[in-house]
Amino acid sequence: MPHRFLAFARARRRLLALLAVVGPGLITATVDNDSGGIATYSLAGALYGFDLLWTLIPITILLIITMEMSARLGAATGQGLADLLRERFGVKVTFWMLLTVLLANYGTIISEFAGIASSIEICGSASGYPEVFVWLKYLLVPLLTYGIWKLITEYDYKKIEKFFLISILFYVAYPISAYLAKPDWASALKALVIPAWRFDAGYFFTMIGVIGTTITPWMQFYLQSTLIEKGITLKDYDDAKWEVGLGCITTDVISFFIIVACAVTLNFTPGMPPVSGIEDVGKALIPLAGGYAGYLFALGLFNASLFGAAILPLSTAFAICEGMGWERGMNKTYDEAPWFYWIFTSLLITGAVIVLVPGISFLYLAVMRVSQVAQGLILPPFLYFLVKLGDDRTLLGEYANPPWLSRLSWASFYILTVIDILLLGATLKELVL
Amino acid sequence: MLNSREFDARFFLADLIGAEVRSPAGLPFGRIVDFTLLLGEKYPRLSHIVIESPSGERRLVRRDQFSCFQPANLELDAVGDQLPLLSDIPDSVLVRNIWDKQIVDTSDARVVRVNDLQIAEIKGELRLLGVDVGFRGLLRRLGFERVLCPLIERFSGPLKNEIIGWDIVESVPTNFTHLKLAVSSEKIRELHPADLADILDDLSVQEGLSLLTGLDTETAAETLAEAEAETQAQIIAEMPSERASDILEEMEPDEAVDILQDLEEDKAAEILSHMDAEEANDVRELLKHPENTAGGLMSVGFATIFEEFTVEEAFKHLRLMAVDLEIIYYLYVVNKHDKLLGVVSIRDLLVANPSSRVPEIMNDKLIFVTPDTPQEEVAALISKYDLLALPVLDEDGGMAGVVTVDDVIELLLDNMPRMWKRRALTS
Repeated sequence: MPHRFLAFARARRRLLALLAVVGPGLITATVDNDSGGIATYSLAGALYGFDLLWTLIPITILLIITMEMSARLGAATGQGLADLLRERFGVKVTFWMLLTVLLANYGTIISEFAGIASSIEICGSASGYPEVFVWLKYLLVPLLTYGIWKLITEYDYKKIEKFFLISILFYVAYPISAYLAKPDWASALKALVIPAWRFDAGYFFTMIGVIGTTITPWMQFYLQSTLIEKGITLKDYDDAKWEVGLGCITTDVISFFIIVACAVTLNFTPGMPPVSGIEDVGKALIPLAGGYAGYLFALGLFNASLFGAAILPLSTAFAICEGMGWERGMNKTYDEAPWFYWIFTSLLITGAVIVLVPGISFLYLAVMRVSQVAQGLILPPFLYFLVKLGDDRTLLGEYANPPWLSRLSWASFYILTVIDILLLGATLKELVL
Repeated sequence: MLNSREFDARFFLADLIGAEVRSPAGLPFGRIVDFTLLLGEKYPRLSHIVIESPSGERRLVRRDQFSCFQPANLELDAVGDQLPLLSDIPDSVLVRNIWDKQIVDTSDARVVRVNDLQIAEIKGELRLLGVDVGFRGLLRRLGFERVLCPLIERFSGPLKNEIIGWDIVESVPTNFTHLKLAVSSEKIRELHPADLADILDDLSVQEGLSLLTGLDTETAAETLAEAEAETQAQIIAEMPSERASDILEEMEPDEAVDILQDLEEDKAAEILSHMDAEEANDVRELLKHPENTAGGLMSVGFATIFEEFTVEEAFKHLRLMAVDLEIIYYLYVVNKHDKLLGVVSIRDLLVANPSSRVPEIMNDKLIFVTPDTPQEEVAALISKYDLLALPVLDEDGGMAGVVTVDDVIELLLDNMPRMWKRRALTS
């Protein structure tokens, strides 16, 4: 049957081509569900039940739009996003954009370490020996920080990428948690497609957090540079596009399960976060779903936070150096790329140290939430420049945004701007009154 | 770079852009928004100053129409509506486009980003003197120079400008402008292939391709051979197969094989099909062996001589062959059936009597490996016996190839922890 054999060979070749591009999209999208993401989704579920589930579908669409645009920009130009920003909009725009990205990312890096610390504390509660685990935190966080530093500076990105891909498997902890919580699946699915509106600042705040944790500027920088690192150009672009889409959908499916799990097990008063720390979310799970649920939640959180803590300092340092025109990359020496090593190392170390200040753990959850809201707030200006680049015909030629995509992107930009302004307005109102 | 006595004044573009221009009566006339550039000279002339009036019109003014030209004090001599509009001259090259683009500093063989431009006034004409790629230039562009520089200088000493003369700059065609900016495209061809390879590693695939397009096939091959493995594969994968095969033909077969092994099978086969039949055969032969074995490392650029040869004949033979060989230090002595009998080095030949026969002076205690010997063992043997090359024999004892010491060094470097490698490469 030579015919069938040919079809088989073609399918095999197709699969190999797809596997060759796996990595950038899946990893970038998954790191999205980092500690800040888990905190935000957990609280979204705990405070508003299923009411915020509907936002996941538009968010996924917007996530795919933005990630696809960065991927296309990278494949067509071979340049990073910061490079393109600098060449197209000049140094001032690039500088201020990167400064906001730096600040928001720094908050996120702290929240990753807060996530690591929290997951250790949740294990403490689950085991019944919280004091032991508090000490363990002071031992493990510095060790892990050193481990991350070693891993990133010593190993080839190719090897690290495989490591990251394995780490994605741990996200299965959340669907299992959700299943163990025995939610009403029918009403969860209904809430996914039928929007529920609330008009209070807390709802907007949480919504911005959910958007901000899912679609972040740093992801676009990271995705574009890892695609280039992998040598993906326009000829592999069709395969790469699917990989990016797959990553986006996977990440939001996991978000769905986190919200559902927390909506069922934790029921807090809307608008009033009663929890003082992310570990309370995990601890609250223990009496409801048993000690294993606590460990499972902690494992997921630990993995996600470690993942984020490894990628964010690297990605931030890389983007800043790229935009400012400084030498960068781990195959450069310290003497060649001092800025790069300084930024990377100080983000990593100060992020870890802040979390270890005694008595600060009550702030963990606040940091996780606020950093995600900050990411959400800087998203519209960032989106403005991204879509401008995507629309640019001199830059992309036939690969520029088709009219429908351009219109859809601009519409998203306006909607996000309005939501941001509403949030700022609602917050100001609360502050004044 | 020009001698500082040759010009009357120096400015930075960032200090001029946005500066206010006054009419002879001292009234506001507009602001400088750009300059037009006449390419072609070593230090190109800025033919016109582009001034935007408050109503938004962009007009062109020559330097000699100013009575005073200082960033803080710009005064026009004659004003009128007769000034040409920028839009009247459609193909003007604008200086501001050079801001924020990448350039190649050919004296250092590195790719840098332009923070600012230095302009000089020479005999009443404005000329582009060089590009500022330093931190101070960055601060100037951001408008922080006056505030931050004194502060930083208090802690870390003087913050100097890093100016690269326009005469040693080579432009990189960007995705936004496909304009050839600098006149010195010759400069790039004068660089050593190893330096060109460093530049290639710093550029995007697209930029790298256009850099190679400007080089002849031989230089392109030498450059690519020196580049990082990933850069090699990415660039070859993007090239039209004919050009790729031309370049690979110029390389040593073992280097070509290393690149082809990193490509997708279809692409590799297509490139091979365009290659010269003989070259392609050598490459195919080498491609059969896994990358991490002697067979994957070996090259076929070695010389064999027959056992009947005298020392004199051996020299004659070597002279004929030398051009195409990768290693000329050893000659491999074979019999009629191509079986390896022994090795002579050039040193052995030089000290021997020209009329003596090769077998009398050759070393017949053979140290060799087979194509499937692991690369670590090859490295260990070369190191143990202080060899420059190690023969690889097939099952009949015939010469399949040689692994040279530089192949092994490359291998050792690749497997070195990254910290060591970085340190080793800088010291």
